[in-house]
Amino acid sequence: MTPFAILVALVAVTVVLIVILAAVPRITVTRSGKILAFLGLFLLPAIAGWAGFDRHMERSKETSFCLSCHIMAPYGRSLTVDEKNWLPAAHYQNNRVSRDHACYTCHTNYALYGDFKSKVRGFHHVWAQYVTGPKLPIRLYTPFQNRECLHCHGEARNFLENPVHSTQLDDLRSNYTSCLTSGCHDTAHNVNHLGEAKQWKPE
Amino acid sequence: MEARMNSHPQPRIASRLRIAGVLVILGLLVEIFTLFWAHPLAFVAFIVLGCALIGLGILVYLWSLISVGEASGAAQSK
Repeated sequence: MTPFAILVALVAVTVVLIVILAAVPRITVTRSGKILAFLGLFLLPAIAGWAGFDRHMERSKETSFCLSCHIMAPYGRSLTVDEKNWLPAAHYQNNRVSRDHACYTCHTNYALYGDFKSKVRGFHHVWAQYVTGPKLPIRLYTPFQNRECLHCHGEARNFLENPVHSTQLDDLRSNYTSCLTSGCHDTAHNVNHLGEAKQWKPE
Repeated sequence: MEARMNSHPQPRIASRLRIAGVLVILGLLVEIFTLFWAHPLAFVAFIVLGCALIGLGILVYLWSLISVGEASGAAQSK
């Protein structure tokens, strides 16, 4: 049984309990009726609401969720560029990140994913998308953090044994030297040059 | 007298329970509907509409509990 099926079953049980309570409110004078009311009008709806929130949060980590906004389409196309030095493309095409969660793997603190401030930004994105219009060009709120790279590469042997990395490990860990903007891995999504790039089509 | 009073809940409390039930059911329906739609708007609809309705339903239920307590307290003091 999938988590979604369990959630649907939970909602169905809650609805049945509420219908019974609404049809025969007199039962709430008995102890078992009070328990039934507590279950149907407090405990089960609270659990179902939390389960729905959790499922929505999990779904917001999916690549398709991020790319469902039109403005993100170029970033989606940058994942399939046929160039080895395009960082997101190399990660996506070689399964270094899960293709279903490609955005979230490298942007763990972005919009809905991060702390409370980030979640508020996530709602601001929806507001900007449908009401005020997004500000172009799209930029990250804060500089890209090396921790997004190091949570996978940080303990990898080929990373640690590379002298370029090992000689400045502390600077990389403290963000003093950026993985992306210090001239080493500086081709990220590069959406302004997408038109010139060849696209990779998986067979 | 007390037994008679307990076996007939006040109509207002019964109607509050019904209102709470309707709000919770509407909230749960919004929740299920939004879970079939993978889009940021679905998430917003779930939070703004679904969670609000469920929360409001729970609050109305809790309010009915408080009011039934107050009603029985007033009846006992009489």
